[in-house]
Amino acid sequence: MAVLPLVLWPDPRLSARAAEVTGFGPEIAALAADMLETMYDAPGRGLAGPQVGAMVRIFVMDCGWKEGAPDPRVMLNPEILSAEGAVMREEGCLSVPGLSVPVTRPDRLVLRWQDLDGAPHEEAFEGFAATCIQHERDHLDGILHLDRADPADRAVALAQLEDRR
Amino acid sequence: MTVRPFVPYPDKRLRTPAEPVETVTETVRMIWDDMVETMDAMPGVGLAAPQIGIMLRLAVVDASDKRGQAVKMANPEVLHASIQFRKYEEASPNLPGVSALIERPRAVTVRFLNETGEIEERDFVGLWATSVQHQIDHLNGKVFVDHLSPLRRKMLVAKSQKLAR
Repeated sequence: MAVLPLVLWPDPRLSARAAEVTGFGPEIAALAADMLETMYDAPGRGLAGPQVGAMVRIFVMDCGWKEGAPDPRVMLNPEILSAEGAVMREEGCLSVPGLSVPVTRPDRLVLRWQDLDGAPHEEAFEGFAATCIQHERDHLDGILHLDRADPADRAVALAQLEDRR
Repeated sequence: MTVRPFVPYPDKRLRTPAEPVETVTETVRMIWDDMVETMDAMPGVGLAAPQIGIMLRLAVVDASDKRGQAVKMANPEVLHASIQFRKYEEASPNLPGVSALIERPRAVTVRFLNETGEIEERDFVGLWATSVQHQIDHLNGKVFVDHLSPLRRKMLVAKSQKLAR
């Protein structure tokens, strides 16, 4: 296991689409283990493949560990089957350190994904987990929280990022 | 509220057209407030958002003697300009220490989205008109020295950069 280096904005890999996972074996399992370790080390609650330069449709998340209830998840080829409601949350991203931006997204969804053995799963998520899933799922299509933000909030966030450079 | 730093010429943000504002949100009002505070701190008679690194079509103008009369504008555009011209010694905090005599229409009719989110048409005359046109230039990625000949522009920029050192 290893902590992987994070890909930071504005790296073009964060704007690219990741490829389907087709091979289920020790290689993808090792990547998932490294991604979880990287996420806990960061520390964060979610991490997608492109954020460590792995351009495949994988993300890991654990929405409970910071509150003392660890719940590590590994999702391969995730698809949002349905989503409803709307909630605004301040979202941060390990690829854009030190910045948070308000994003409005559905607050309930049903996700289908494959596990490390390629077995399909379906589950309903809500609240923070639903926000986290959508944020990570977006990474696989090269979409960042900044891209989902209101144009004015986005402009302010970009100005803050430039100030810091 | 904050006084924000000025983007130094020749930063590419001063050469980039700003994005239109869709609606007047809390964030837009917050940016206007920061802009007024930044303008008053100079003190100056106007400010455009790209000058402080926020790439939105937002401007404030206050050419009053007593100040505190700032007009806040989003997406301002000149509908009509007078045939009569007016010369004024223009300057910019992005290019400190230098100024140049620029000729612009003496009066303009401007359409913009106002503080309450409504479309307003307003006539500006004299220094108010000069300033609003100077700010609209900024929103289009244009700086006052762009109104000069290439040679004069080069000399003024060199002088300002020498002073800034």
